[in-house]
Amino acid sequence: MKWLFLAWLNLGRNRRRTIATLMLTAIGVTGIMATSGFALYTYDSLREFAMRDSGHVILTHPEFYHEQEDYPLQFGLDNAQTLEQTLIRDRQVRDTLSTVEFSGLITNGNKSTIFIGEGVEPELFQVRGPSMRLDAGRLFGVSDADSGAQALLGKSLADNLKVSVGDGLTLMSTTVDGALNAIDITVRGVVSTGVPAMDSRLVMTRITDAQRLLNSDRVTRIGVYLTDNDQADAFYHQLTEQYPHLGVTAWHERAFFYTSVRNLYNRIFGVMGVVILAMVGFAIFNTASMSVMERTREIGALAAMGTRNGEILRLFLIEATLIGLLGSLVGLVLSGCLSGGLILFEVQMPPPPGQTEGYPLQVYWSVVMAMASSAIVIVLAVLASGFATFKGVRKPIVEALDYA
Amino acid sequence: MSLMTVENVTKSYRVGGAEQTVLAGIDLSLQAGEFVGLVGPSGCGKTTLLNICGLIDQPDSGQLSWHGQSLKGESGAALTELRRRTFGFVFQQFNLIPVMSARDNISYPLMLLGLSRKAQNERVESLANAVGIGSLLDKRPAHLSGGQRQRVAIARALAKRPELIIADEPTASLDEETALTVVDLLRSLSREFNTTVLVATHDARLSRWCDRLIRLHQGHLQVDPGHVELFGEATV
Repeated sequence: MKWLFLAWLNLGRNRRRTIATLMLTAIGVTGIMATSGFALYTYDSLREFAMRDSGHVILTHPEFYHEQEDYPLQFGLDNAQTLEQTLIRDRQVRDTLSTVEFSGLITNGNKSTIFIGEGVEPELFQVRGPSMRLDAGRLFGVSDADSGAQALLGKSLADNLKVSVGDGLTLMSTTVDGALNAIDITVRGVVSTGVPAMDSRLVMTRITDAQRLLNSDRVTRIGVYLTDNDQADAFYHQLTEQYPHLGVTAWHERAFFYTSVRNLYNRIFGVMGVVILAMVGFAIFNTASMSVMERTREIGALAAMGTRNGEILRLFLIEATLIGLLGSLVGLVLSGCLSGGLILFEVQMPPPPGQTEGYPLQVYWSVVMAMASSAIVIVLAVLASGFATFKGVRKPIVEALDYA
Repeated sequence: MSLMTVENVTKSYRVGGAEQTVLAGIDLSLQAGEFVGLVGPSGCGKTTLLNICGLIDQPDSGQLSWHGQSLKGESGAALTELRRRTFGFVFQQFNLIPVMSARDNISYPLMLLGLSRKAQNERVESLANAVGIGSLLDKRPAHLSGGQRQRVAIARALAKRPELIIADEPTASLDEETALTVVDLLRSLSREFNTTVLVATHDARLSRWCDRLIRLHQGHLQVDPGHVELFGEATV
């Protein structure tokens, strides 16, 4: 306590310098919190999006992700409905969604182009939540009483074919038997996924229409949606044991965008974090060095009076700890204000490369992150101070007392 | 038995490539409770001898004994412990801790000894009254005059009731009147607490306070002849 009191008094010795060091430490902590908070928000958003897109666990034919199909649905799942009914009985499962992937030509009679199709269950949009923007018309719904084949078109594809809601088109594809088949569809809605390459090719139909086009009752995959995101890994292992004859894939194995962004951000923000910490470290090193230099004669007097080297060093380390602690506290408050401010006053980020939609800038503030960044900064402060003062406190007493 | 014995101590410095001997075989014995003045011209090695006696510098050769026990070969940590318990220092430049009040400066050595806050306060107040700064205890050194600061320094040196006080030119930064008051104070307190004081000075006026005055000249100690006349025969 006595050393803490003396260290506290010493912080007031050169207030401007102490405040400058403290603020630099605070800005460093704010920087670490902001960058890691933004990264966490991004990871969380992308993880959520990826889980919503594919489901927490994906069931396929065991060869589906490893072999190229010779014909549509070659590696499809039979008896998908029975499987879904079994899965849904598990209390952890919120819902299941079957999907049929297909491709072919889409034509308005005058113009034809390639499409990438997804046959989906009507409750897709309820289960997934908002995953694409509806530009015109309606999405599929569970209680739809509409008859006839309908499709949602990507915005660029609709523009390319010069069609709007209610217009008729024809989808052509190859059936599982190798025959050419076609169905007429009506444009039900126009959507934007945010990815231009997808918007120029996307066609979504009801799963029954896709199966009719491909002449099969198989599905490409079943996405299993859980009530709790945190149970995804455990449930994946459970299904692996439960269905050894099926391909069981965890969501992150197919979340290529999520993985790429995470790897990229980890490197970028990791380097930024190191730079910030280096700045904080050098600032504290500089402050401690100057402090030792200015107090050399005093250190000599303290040592002459019988103060041990370790006690003098401890004094400087406590001072550094206080700077680290106070700087961290100010930094955490600043980063909290930044996080809150971004929620109150929405700031839009420009669309990422390859996408058309921007997203709101948010910075997560987490207790774990706050504790980790504070601990790192305090340890850094102590190390920097120890490094700067170790030699100073060991100067011979006579030399220290003569120091001008 | 002597409190401290210095035997055949030498110390040289290398100045501009040449070896300069400042202490050439010094023998000195300090008795408990005596007030010893060390005089000599500037640069003669008074501070060096004081530093060696204060265990904050090492001689090139010779040895020191404390209560008859040789200190040769003692570790730095052991000497630090000895200074912590039994040595007091009064510096020419006071060397008070500027961020601490006079009270905290005086109680610092007591804090090192682990005395309770209550015991510290009692002793600090008693000493502060004795040195005449009882009303200034809450002031920081920057708000005290030179004389007041040196009184704080004397109180700090005496606080732990040391056996030996090393005072290096304690009056050099003070005006004449204050200097005499401070030395008088140091002398009377050393008598009261039976503390040995070794004080270096080039101020001849201080000689009348000393039990013994020794002169350092060309690396050797001599009994000050003037002082012998005043106080009778003395030994080094």
